[in-house]
Amino acid sequence: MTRLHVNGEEREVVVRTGDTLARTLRDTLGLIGTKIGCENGDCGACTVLVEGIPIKSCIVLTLDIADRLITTIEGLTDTPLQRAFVEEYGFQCGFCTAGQILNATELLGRSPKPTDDEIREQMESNLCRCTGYEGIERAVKRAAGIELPLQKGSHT
Amino acid sequence: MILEDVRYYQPETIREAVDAYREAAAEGLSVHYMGGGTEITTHARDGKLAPGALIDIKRIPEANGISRGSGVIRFGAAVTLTRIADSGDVPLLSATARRIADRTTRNSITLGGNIAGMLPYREAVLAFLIYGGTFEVTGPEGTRTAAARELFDRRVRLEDGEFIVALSIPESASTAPWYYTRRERDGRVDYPLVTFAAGLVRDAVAFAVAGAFLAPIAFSVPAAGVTRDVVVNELKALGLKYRTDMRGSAEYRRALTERACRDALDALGKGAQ
Repeated sequence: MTRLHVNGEEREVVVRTGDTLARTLRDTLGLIGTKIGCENGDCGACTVLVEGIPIKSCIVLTLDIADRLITTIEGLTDTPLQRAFVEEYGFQCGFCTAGQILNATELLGRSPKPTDDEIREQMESNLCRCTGYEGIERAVKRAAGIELPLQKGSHT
Repeated sequence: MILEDVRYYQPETIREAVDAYREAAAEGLSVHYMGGGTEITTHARDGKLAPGALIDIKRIPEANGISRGSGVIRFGAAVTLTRIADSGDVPLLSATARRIADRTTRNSITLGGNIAGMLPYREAVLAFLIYGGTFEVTGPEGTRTAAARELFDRRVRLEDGEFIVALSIPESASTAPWYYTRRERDGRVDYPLVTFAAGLVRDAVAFAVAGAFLAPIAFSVPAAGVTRDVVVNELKALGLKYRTDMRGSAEYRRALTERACRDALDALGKGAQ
């Protein structure tokens, strides 16, 4: 048995040596908020936090992460960033949203008022197949308390 | 499960790592040392790699940390590229690390893993080639130190069972003039068409290039009287073949590389000579 610390809970799971963290979270622990997109480390849909650092769980072995603190999207509840994603329409189909939010969570923890360059560098780790990048960027800025320019077509 | 029936070791000392290698190799397993494991998992998924045993070196203290002493800055092979990018200890190295993959992936990719990996780019080695860095490697026959330009000839020339423990670079690299550019076809997060780095090292200008050829290369020319033509001719004299792939033709890579030669000299204050 392998001990995992997920979202504040200790879980004992049977893990094969070749299992990736993404598969363990979804298939063994039922935490299906973690999405598997490319399974190649490119899209970022599987992003989770390990000791607060975002990693792509599809290219990390579960055994590598044992005994470390894992946070999945199920571990976040009504955070200001999550609310900002709703308020700014920072999602369309929603497939990438968990990864986007977890990645941005670390950015705002490290840099509460991130610059445009910091946001770009951080968020270029995550692809949005709906190309909703503008809403995602606005959500991150809103959560950071950064003043947002009026959107085209907005009413004052 | 991407990896089938792989044996996984997590040694906490160099001795344990070497013993694990001996044990697995003696059983006929295909043994790989592992840092972040990003390349191993992706290549395994593609069927390009089927390791029988993985030895994860991240828990070995000597392979971790960034430290200064005896005139060098020492980077553990298991230090992540994010940490190196954010450290700023050697600006050229940090700039190079910051453009490899994306930030989230850099949180997993390690310095040693990038340099010893299967992909042909291995950009993290460029600063060590330019500034006369050294590799600290260990294996069944013991630990040795080797100059980067000797040990890295297109790839790291390790003996059977060896792995990289750390890399060092002279402390003078933290303030030496440098130039860096990276050209991609499809935006920042992509493999490079050309990654070109240069630095002033004593009385020479040192250059290192990745992406343009089958593997990273390095060369130096005397700083006195250097011109773009001198650099381009030196590059041509190496007799290397530019790569053609889906991202760009050999001719395009050649043009980008030769343009970078000129830009590097301009940036290093050698352009007017």
